[in-house]
Amino acid sequence: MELELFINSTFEILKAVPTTLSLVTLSLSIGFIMAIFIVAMSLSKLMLVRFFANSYIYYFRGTPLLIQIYLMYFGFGYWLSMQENVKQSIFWDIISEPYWYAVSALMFNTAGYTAEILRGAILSIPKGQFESSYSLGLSYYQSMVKIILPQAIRQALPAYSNEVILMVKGSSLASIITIMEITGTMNKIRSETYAVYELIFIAGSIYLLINFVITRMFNYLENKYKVVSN
Amino acid sequence: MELLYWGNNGWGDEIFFASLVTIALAVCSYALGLVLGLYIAMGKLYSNKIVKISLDGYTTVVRGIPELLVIYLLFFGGENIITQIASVFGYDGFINLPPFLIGVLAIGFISASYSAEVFRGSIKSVHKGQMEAGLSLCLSKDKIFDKITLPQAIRIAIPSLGNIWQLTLKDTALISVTGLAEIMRISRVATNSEREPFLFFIVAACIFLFLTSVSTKIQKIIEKKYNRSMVR
Repeated sequence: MELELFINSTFEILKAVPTTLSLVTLSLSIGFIMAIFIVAMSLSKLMLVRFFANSYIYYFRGTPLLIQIYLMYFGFGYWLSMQENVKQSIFWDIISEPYWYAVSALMFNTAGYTAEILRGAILSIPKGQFESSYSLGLSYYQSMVKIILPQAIRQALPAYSNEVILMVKGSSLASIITIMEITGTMNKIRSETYAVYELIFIAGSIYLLINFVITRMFNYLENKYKVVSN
Repeated sequence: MELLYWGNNGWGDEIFFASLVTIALAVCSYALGLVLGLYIAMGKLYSNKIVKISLDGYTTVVRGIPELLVIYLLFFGGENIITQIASVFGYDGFINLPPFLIGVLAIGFISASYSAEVFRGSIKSVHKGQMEAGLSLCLSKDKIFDKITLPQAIRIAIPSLGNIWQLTLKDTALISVTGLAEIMRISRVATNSEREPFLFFIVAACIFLFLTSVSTKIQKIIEKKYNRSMVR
């Protein structure tokens, strides 16, 4: 591969970085909010609600991400495209965009994993914290939001940083449903130029850089909110 | 429902054999990952600086880039490398690698980088006194590792190794991009040709759920067995 081609494809792949980042941030932020609801449901007293939340977590953690993306795009999206009244509606422009299928698949996936992480963290908080906040006259909701969750989120930080990195890596699967993020762009250039090693080198370095920055950010957060024992 | 029958009219037999391919792929690459991972961990702990740095680089890179890139690298680039190596030994002509082998290598390399970290951590967590006790019994360094350190390290490593098995099992779905006829590939082909959006993907998801829950059960049994000596 000539130098010129190398530089050109580097720039072209770099242009795809915002797509990857927007996929990841969008799905992570919505997924986190969903995860809080799922955890609340899995700690509920009603058996049916608990059962729903647990089977949600079980399904999304037990199947590959690829199958979830396929179900979303080739399954649900294909089914939508067969409905005549959907095709005629004004939402068709949004519905026919594969980007939203990728975002929602990633979002549902990360919600399941994050819910499991948060549940583990909440259960790891000693029961005494609950009891003492009740004794101060806080309601269940107040003690959850003000006492338990802040501690649990601190507990969950290392595991959550892993999940964020998994998400960055998982976003590469969006290339399979024709989204031109880093891996998709790389694959497009590869099919045009037949260069393999250089392109994978470029794309891999970008992913490594993103993951490095994320690790650093979480390290900073972990140090900032260090648990001071005794 | 006739679509799932056995035989020429249904996809039942195709899906069954595809599941076998997935299981075989997962088992082979997990085994490769365990062996490679153990050697990488030993290299990281006991070798000289250059080996250490390059092995650290290997595990950092492989764990930091998407699995899909590793698969593409081997799928599009692996045959080139093998052909070039063969041409050094005087063989000219292109060597085709079977997709199953590429899959095993790709997933195995990924799984190795995770197992290596687990092994390294668990070998390190074995108390130093164990090794000193071995030395005082005049055992050689290799023997101490084989008979004293490793068995204790494996007991510590088992829960995390179980997690890596689950990861490896789920990673095999990605091999479908190379066209190997495993569950994902077959369900995609079946979906396309039968114009049935949900059925085959849901079947595939159920197969994966079945496999992961069976392995969780087996994992629990193995953990219990290895912790037998620690129960008081």
